[in-house]
Amino acid sequence: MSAVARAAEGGSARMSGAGAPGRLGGAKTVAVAFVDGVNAPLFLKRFDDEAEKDSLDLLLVIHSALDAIDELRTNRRRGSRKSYLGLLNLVDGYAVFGHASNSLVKTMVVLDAEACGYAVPDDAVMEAYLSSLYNAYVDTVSNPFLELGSALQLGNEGDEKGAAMNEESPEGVLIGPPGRKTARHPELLQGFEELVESLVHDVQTAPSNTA
Amino acid sequence: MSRNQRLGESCYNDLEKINAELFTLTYGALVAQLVRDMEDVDKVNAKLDEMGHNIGLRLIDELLAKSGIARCGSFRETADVVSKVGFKMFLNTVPNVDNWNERGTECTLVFDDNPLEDFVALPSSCAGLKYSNVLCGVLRGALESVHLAVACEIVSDALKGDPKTEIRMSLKHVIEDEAGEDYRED
Repeated sequence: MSAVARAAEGGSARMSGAGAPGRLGGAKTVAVAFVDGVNAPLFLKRFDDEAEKDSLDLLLVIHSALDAIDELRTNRRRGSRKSYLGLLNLVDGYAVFGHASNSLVKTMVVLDAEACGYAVPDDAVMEAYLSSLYNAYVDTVSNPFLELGSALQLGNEGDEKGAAMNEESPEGVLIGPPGRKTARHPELLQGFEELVESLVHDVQTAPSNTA
Repeated sequence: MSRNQRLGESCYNDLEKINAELFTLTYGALVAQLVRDMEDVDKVNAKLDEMGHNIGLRLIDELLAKSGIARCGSFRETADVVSKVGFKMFLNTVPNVDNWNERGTECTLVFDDNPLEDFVALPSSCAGLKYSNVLCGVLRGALESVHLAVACEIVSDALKGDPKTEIRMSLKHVIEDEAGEDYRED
């Protein structure tokens, strides 16, 4: 069985074992983003209904969250070495939660805070959610045929996002190394996208842990 | 539990272990590098088989030393030892031996779990790649050292959408104990 299929069934040994995170208490996932160590975008997927719309508003929110991550990591106390960073940014009705590994691969989830009255889910739930996303990333990247350093997603949702993902953006909305390679094997990445989708879906629909 | 099963488990427990992910990633890096260097999938398959053969020639002594297994009376017994002792000791996986032919000279090893293939997905450019071909080479080399000439082939590959990876092992002939050319008297 391919790693993707196995992980999707929850069989991968590295999936967070705490059981499906409970429902996000009404908050909906707007987007999931992965950013690598040099702050170049790896993956971005919108889950709200405006998938056709320009994603620049989201990119701005996520980009500002990157600053919050850098700040949190430099200022944290010696003792706390957790990868989970909690709520990074609350702006425009979006709440951004983040997770940064020691290799500075950042995983971020954008929730629609306004719709749920700013009652964002608690840290335990978000930590499990972000861990499962990060583990999916690790499983995908463990494939020896996948070239690291290329985007984990093709810019297939319209030219603007494609341009933003794959080239140096002129306005500096995204900072990234110039001439970023597009992935050489698109079919390997489809599995990753499906995996992320299934994780998001599970979180939205799983029964809440609190009785 | 059969005797070979018990033997396999006890040998596995006594041997030193390494991290499975390290092993999987190492093999993956090796195959990916071969693919990049050789670019021709058939050459990569042949190379993996050759590497496996070299490993098998050495691995058989390790197996015999650590397990203390005695002579096998038939190819069926050999297959049983290969799967329950050999694969158990070295890869901690016991393939099922199945699909025997009438004469008892051919069988299939069915792997429920193949540690070499964890987290691997084949790109479309490597559709003909036999990712676990090194195992075929290992079997061929190891059995050659105990005078059994076998041919092994991957007949079903989990990386290509089949449910399980399967290797077909066929005994071609028993290698006669021959002195080398230099020692022939005529």
